Amino acid sequence: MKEELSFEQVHLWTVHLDTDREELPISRHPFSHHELSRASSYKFEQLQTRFLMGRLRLRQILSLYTGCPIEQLEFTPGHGGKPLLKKYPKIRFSLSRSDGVQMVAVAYDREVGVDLEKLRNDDFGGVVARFFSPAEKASLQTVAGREMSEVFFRIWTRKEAYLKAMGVGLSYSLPAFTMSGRIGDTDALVHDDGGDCALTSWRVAEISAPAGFNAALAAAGKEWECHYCQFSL
Amino acid sequence: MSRGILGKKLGMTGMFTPEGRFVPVTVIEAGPCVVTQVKTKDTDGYDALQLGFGGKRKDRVNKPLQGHFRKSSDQCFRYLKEFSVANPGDYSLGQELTVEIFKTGDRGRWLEDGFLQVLGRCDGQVKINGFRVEIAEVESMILDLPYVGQAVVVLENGGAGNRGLVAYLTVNSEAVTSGDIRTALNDMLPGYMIPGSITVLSQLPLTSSGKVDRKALSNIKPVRRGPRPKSRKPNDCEKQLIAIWRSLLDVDVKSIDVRDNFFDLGGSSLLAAQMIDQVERFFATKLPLDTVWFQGGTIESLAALIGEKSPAVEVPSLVTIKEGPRLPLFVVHVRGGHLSDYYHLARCLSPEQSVIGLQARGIFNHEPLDSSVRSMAAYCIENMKRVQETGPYLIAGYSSGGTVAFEMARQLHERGESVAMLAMLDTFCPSTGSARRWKKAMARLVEGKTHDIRDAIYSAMMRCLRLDRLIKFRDPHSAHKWAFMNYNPRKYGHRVDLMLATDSIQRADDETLGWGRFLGDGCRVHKFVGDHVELIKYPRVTELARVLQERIDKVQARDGAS
Repeated sequence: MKEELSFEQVHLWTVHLDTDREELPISRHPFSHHELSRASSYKFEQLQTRFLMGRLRLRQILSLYTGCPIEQLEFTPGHGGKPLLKKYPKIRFSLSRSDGVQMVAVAYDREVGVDLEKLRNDDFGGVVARFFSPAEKASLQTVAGREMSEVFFRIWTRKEAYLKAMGVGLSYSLPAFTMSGRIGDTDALVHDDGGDCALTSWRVAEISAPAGFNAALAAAGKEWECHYCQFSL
Repeated sequence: MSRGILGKKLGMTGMFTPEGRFVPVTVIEAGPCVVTQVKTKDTDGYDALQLGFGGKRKDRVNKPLQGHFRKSSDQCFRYLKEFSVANPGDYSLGQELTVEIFKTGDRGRWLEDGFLQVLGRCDGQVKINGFRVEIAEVESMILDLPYVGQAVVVLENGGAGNRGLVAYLTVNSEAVTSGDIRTALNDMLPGYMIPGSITVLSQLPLTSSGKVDRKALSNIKPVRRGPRPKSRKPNDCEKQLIAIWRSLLDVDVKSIDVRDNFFDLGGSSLLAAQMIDQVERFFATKLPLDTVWFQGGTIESLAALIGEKSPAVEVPSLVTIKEGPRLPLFVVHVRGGHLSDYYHLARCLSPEQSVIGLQARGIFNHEPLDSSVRSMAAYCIENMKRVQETGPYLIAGYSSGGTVAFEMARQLHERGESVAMLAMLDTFCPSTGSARRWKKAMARLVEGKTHDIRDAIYSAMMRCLRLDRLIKFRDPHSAHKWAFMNYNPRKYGHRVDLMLATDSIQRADDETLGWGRFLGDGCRVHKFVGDHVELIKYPRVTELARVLQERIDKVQARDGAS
């Protein structure tokens, strides 16, 4: 089966790394030296296994678009160190893992970024104070308790997805741009100090995530829609 | 030891392993076989067994063979096969070997002539860091390298659960080092399958029978070239960072090494942001968020950056653990000056409840350390008043922090100030100077532990000679230890809430952990199922938080009404 990807679509795959596990092939694995050494640097078994399962799924998904066998896919650092497929530079993808769930966004010739976070109750006051924009802080002040942590996660995943799509990582100033905290927002980027052209050249949308998680997808341009794909072997 | 039996292949099928993996299976009707001849070194020059399998009519067998068969049994066999064995004396003529000689988990190998040979136990399959590893597989991958002659991989128990694979091998060229082999293996095997130590030998020790002598190998002490060299002990700043990491990462504090990377322990970018925020609160040092990615991201490198950023470190003596509009709950540092024990608790309290940590004097800076509970308490009161000028105060202390909290409340009452709540969370009463302490030290001495008696004699001597002021304590831990050891609680007649773990009560053999005789009628004991550590950790901490918050709400409602 080969996945067809049109320019107007961003494909989104959600895979469960803990429950839908395959026995990892021992001697004939598809992983690169880089992937293996990354895996072995994780200190705990669960993290290692999740990482390798995640990479296996990523390779399986990408091979659906390229038709390339999973072990022959080669990655190379692209713009801002964001990985690209060496032989298929037009296929862009982004990956996010959180607590046993992984999301992979795939697009054709369009920068994408996805972020997935498991919801948890915590004190994010300091994170908000330091890394959120004034407008974001204001939107958090109007809510309390449980709702506040939901809004926090919505804004955080949107911010991170946006940074990942741009390929700038967290060295970009986080308080310099504003995301809306509205539920189900499909165009959440409200403001960017970097200039108004950012508002027209990127779109950040909430995407549906498994229960207990929150996720956001960012991609270049406005004219695209998110297509949810079902992963099966 | 190898075991062999003759059998007939019936067909192929598949089955599921207990792990749910589908494996193809060859079905063999194995045995029974009869020992038709036992060959020994003495009689035949070598040790072997001859087995017969598959019935044959007597009249189809020639006379000499009939004679051969008659020596062992009345049966004639279609197939005869010799197996070399190490111990032919264990077998007798005519003995029947059935499939029972095999056990679940034996490893077999197909011989070229279609026979199945059992190679040994599947114990060759071991678990390392939770991964199932087939030792033989690792061995064969090493043997596949063009310049490797012989190779043996063994599992070594380094003690303390430190199991790891160790490879011993010979190479065809002197230029090849174990490093080259490691590099080559990195491309072929996942990290957990690569032996932690690779030792190149000029030759492998062999037993008299020509096999690799695994016993002799284990006497060769390989140079450990594991990926993680044994690390040093953390300093105070690093200890504080470890405490912060632990509160965020949900890992055991002992498993955090100063050279571990934040992301290798399961950190995410959001957790990194929270961590940098905690660093700012504790060390008053603003580190850029990308530090965690680009400048090591280890405890060691962060501690170095913190030291660099603020040479004359001015560490806040007040740490806002949780913000909120309500009157703050003050929590007191534990021995050694940590506040991270309160993270989980603070998060489980009402969202409006603010929690402020009172830090000890001289942590991470050059102020003199306090070596008495009284001065520790006075310092905390001084800092507390910077936030809340007058009472009533809400004070809580976990473990040794409870003792300081107790002394704070006592001093406040002495000054005529009001304490709305004093909560001691699983605090053992320091049994000082009294006969009890000597008794305990003596009991320990009988057990062969001299530590307590030494401390007791030392502190008694220092106090008698009034030399204790001169002791220069090197670290907060020992200063505080001295302080608690020499603290004499005085009577306290006001309300105290003891929140105790059931396990601690059992250990102390006292419902109040020793506080009873110092407290009057105002003493209330709240029991929580679990032990000392569970009390303040998820998920049990939620219960403690609920009771504590209820108590706070109650005293505040009362104070508000009056």
